[in-house]
Amino acid sequence: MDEERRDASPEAGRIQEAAERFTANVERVLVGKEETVRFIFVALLCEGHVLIEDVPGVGKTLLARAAARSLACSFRRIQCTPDLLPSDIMGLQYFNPKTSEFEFRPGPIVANIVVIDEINRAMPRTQSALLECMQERQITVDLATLPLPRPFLIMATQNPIELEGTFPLPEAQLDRFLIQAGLGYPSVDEEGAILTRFGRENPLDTLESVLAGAELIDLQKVCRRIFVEPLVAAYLIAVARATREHLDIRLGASPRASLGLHQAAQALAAIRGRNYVIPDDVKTLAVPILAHRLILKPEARLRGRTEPAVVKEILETVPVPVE
Amino acid sequence: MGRRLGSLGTDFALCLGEFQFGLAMLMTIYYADAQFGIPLGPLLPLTVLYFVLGLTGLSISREEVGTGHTDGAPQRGRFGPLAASLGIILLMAFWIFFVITPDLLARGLSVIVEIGRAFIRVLAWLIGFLASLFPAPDTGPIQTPPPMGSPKHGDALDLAHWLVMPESVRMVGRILVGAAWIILFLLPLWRISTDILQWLRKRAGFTQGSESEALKGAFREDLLRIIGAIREKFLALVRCFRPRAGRAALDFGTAGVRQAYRLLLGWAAAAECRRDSTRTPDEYLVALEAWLPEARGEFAFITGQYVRARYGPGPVEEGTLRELDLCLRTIRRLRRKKGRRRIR
Repeated sequence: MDEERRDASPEAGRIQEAAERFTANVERVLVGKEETVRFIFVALLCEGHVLIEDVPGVGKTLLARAAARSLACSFRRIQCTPDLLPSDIMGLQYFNPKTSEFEFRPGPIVANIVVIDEINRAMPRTQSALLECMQERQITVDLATLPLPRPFLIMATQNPIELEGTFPLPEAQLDRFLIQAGLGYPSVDEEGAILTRFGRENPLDTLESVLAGAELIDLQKVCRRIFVEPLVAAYLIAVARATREHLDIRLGASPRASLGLHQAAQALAAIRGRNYVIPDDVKTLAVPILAHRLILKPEARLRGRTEPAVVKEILETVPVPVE
Repeated sequence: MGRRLGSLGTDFALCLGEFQFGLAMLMTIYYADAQFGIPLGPLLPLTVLYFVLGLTGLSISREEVGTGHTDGAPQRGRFGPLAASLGIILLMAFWIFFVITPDLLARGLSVIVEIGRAFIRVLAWLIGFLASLFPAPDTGPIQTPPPMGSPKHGDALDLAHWLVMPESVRMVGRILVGAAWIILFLLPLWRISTDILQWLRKRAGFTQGSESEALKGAFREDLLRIIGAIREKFLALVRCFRPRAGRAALDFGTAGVRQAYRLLLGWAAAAECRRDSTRTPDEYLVALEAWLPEARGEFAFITGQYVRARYGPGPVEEGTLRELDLCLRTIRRLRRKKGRRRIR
């Protein structure tokens, strides 16, 4: 970290300091998942959405809630069930007998931070209702279109194991998630720390916000100014394009993925205290940003190939621009 | 030759090789005698001695190897035919020696020359015939008909027709002839080179207990290895005259930082710590530190400055190049020290 600090520029230093505050705050609740928390902060800086996928009980929802609470923004939570309707999320026009007029009652999606728990339990029509708000950051109810408040971030969780009664997310929706992160099981020490920490009280109850919405918007603007050398941009594009030409992949990364990788690399560079992107930033983010957007060929899947493994393989083939 | 054979372990293959070599030398001497009239009086007993010793040596060595005609009990009775064949060969050698005189050789050569001339005449006729098949050019001057009773110029006109054949055809012809000459030149050259290298390899391979085997493509490999060795020598010579790396002033600004990093890459590559093209500078730093752990700090500094200069927007800070120069000097010193340690 000292090395990173020595390399810091004033603007990037602000982002780095904010990232440390945010990470430290979330880590009061979630033990030993610094990298995942950092990815979530990257998504916050890019105003991208996060999909947290892991087995039950590892802290997906806890992470989403802790991240939301660390920001002084409006926060809503949606628990997805098969009978959840689009209007339950978006809101609806209802007739107010007192005023004798139809009034719009906004749904839980109208908030800065929205945690959608078990997103794959919602029906496809409800999932599809999220497409507009995720990409265009607006909702359309009846004939009215309403912009969503900024910053706007969705943190969705899903369970990859228990698939009965679930509806897999379509590719169009997966593509709208900037980052997919996993948590994994904690180590022995981390599990011991969890028991100690949660034995007395739930630290989530006392978690305070450390970053205001206005400050986050300001940091997002700073992030856009992080310098990306054309050769690094070309490297990033080469990685994205390689996913479209790989023999094991049926559907490669979209241009939206390239754009997301570009923005996320800027954010990660700033979090690391630099005002310029280096190929390491691209490499670090390639798996969480690209892997969930890929569709492998059935034969590759039968051979036991996974999307992250293929992305890592691609990173081992694309030359890094050095001299 | 006897001395050389005496210093080597004799076996059939070696004797055969030496015999062939000696035969070629003998034929060369006879040729020189025939061409330049050099008096070679003592050559006759020497030739006899050569054939006797050579053929006997071959037989003995074959016998020693265990593949001779007289090897084994049933073969013992074949010594007579072997001696007879030796005698016949010697008689043939005498006959050749007496029959093949300079006059006979000159006559033989004149016959060959005549055959060659006849062949050229046939070739010229064939070319003339082929040339007559091409259409007459339209671009030439209009020929006025010869006056009545004038002599015929049929041959000269044919030649003229041949000379003004289309340029494209002539170009193709030139290319073909050129290619044929190049092939004619390269084929013997290749063959001679192969033979020489094969002979050298055989010589090198005749050590105690070793075997030599002609490998397909070995000549090409040898040739490439020789060219590579020459190139390495040349580069080493160039390096001697080049100003010492690190002592020369680095370029100004970003170019200087990149130059320093390139230098570092070159040193590491020379020590078989080459950077994989998919590795970032920071990933490569780990390998560099493993290569020369004493220079960990210098590697980190150079890599950090390179990353900043290569990917960052800002100018290189004042004094950075001086520090880089110091780091390079330290690395060079440590590198040499490590090299000496390894040699010991």
